[in-house]
Amino acid sequence: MEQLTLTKIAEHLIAKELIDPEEEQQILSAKEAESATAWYIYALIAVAAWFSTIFFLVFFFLVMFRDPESVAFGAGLFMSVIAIIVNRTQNKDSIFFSQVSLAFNVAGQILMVLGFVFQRHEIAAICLFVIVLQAIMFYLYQHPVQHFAAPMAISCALFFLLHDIEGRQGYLEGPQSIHIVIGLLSAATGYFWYKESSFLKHRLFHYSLYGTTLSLLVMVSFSVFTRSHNLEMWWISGLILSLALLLLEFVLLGSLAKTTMGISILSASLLFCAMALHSPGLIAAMFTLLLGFYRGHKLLMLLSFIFLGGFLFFFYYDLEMTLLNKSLILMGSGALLIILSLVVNRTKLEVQNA
Amino acid sequence: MSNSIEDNKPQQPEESNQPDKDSLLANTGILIQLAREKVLCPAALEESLRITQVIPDRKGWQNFISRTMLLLGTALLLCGIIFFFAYNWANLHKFAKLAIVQSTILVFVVITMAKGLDHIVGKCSLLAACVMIGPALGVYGTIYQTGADAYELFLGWSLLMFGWVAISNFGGLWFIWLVLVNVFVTLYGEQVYGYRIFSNGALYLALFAVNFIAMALWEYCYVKKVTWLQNRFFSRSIAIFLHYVLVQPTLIIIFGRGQGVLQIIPVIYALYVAAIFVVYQRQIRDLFMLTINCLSLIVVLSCVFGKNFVNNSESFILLSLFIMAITAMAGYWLNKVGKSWNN
Repeated sequence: MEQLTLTKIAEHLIAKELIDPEEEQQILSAKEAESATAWYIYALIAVAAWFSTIFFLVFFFLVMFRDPESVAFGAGLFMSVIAIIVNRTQNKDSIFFSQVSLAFNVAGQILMVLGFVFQRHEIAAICLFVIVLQAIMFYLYQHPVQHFAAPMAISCALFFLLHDIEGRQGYLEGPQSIHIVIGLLSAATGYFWYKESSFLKHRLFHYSLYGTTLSLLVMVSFSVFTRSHNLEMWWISGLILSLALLLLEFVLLGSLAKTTMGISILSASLLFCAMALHSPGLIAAMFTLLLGFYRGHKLLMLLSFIFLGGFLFFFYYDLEMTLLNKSLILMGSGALLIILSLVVNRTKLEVQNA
Repeated sequence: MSNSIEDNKPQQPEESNQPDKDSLLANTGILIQLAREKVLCPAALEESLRITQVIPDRKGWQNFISRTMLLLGTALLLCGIIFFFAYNWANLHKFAKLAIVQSTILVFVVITMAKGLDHIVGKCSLLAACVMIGPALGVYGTIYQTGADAYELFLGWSLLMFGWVAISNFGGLWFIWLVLVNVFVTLYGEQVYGYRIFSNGALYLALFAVNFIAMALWEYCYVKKVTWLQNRFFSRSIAIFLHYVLVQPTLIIIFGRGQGVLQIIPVIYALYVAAIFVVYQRQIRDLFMLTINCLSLIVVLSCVFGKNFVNNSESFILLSLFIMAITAMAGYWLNKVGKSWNN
């Protein structure tokens, strides 16, 4: 990253008519919001909050629930309301109240869902309840953990909801509703990372986005473990993610898309997608890796690399070949990538020399 | 990963208490903060991120694509080579097996000599040569059926690589060596004395002694500004392991199942925690170490509380509140210490 002064940036933005000259002073007086609490202190508090919640739940189950089926929902609702009130009225620096409210929130939501399960036994109704509950809490309860967990809970509930509906209609060729969820998650991940700047005014935006991205990567991870459970049409997710990847590249390349370089990149990606059509995890990890690099988010890149490594491992592991053939393919694809890397480097030199 | 709260400060010109606003460097944090305060509209933020190259330009993309392909290509090629030898391994002659493993070590050593120990490639090659000693000993043991116990392999491995570790000036290599020593100590205890070495606490004491000495030496070098030992990751990792080694037997004692030298470990634990609080507050300012210390104390105190006060279902709420209270106190105190350093 090139280190520019705020003065230079302000001058540049004024020249581009993106800010008014009188706003320059506001930029120059900017100060990064000092993180009052280091990440590991937050981690300490979060771990303790979860443990205290577990004991809360144990207490409620053992003491208050002589008749759990009728009490759980009410108790959960009561705890969630307290959590919301504390969350919205507390001093933001108050670690104690933040922790109390988080513990109440988690315990309250679990109890409400359990209470609902005691009352209604239909999967579709339970999933709808989870989706609505998470949407409400996402709006009312402003906390990183809530905003990170809500997209994941909603994705899971949506999957089971669609799965249930699909089951009632009669499966076509095994349950395939997961592909719809993956499609929605890839669209949301791509759109929100691409448009990140437009949403940064929301304080907890990044937590929600990381929750959404992780949901996508976890959902496609089922492609590795569920091949023997009738979930075999993974090419559908592969196709959806290929379209998302190619569209992202097309948008990022912009005017370069029609040049030789752009066409080469898109062709190489098309080849990659065709090879990985039955392993959507590889395409999803590449998709999030590109988004991470484009937005300069090292954490997202690290997450993508970890998943990419895992999916690559299973890709080669699942190849129905002898170890000898696998080793030859590994060496061949490795050598090909190294050669391509050198070609890209050479292109770079030509561009610089031109 | 920041070393302390001090690292989170925005970059400012050196030798200046009052930052000169005209030369205040822009970083992603400041730009995002300006967007949150609605000083920068989305388009202005996007442009700012573009000119500071957080959003990469064409050159940045080419570098990224080239490096990613190189990284993946190298990883795949190496995996392919390993699989190739794995497939043909049983059919190879014993001398061929030894030659393959030892020539790999030789190649890495030659690369180290060519690049020098100051170069990252030289350091990584030396690390790879050290790592390959283990498989070399394993292959030797398999071919000649030496009958050696597993701990002897790790003893030999750590002894043979020590010379290279000593001259490496490379914190990562010292850390790997320490891991091997720990594996040796654990396996030695388990294979020579059996599982009673866990229950009587001798193994915990041995591991504590080894790692405590390592950490003390590491921190001494850190204070003496030995340049290649300034990375806090390794000493923090050792400190976390030391907590594990002490907290586990302490919990066994708390729940009344300790015997032998195990019973003195809670005393050592208390002294260790006190020492960490003093050293990392006064000698070396490291909030992470204090946080880990607090976490282990919270675990131990919660177990003490649970053992003594949780005797019926109603008292679970007390335990929950107790954890909340001590965590809040720890968080408040850690923030206060961090802020006092910042000021």
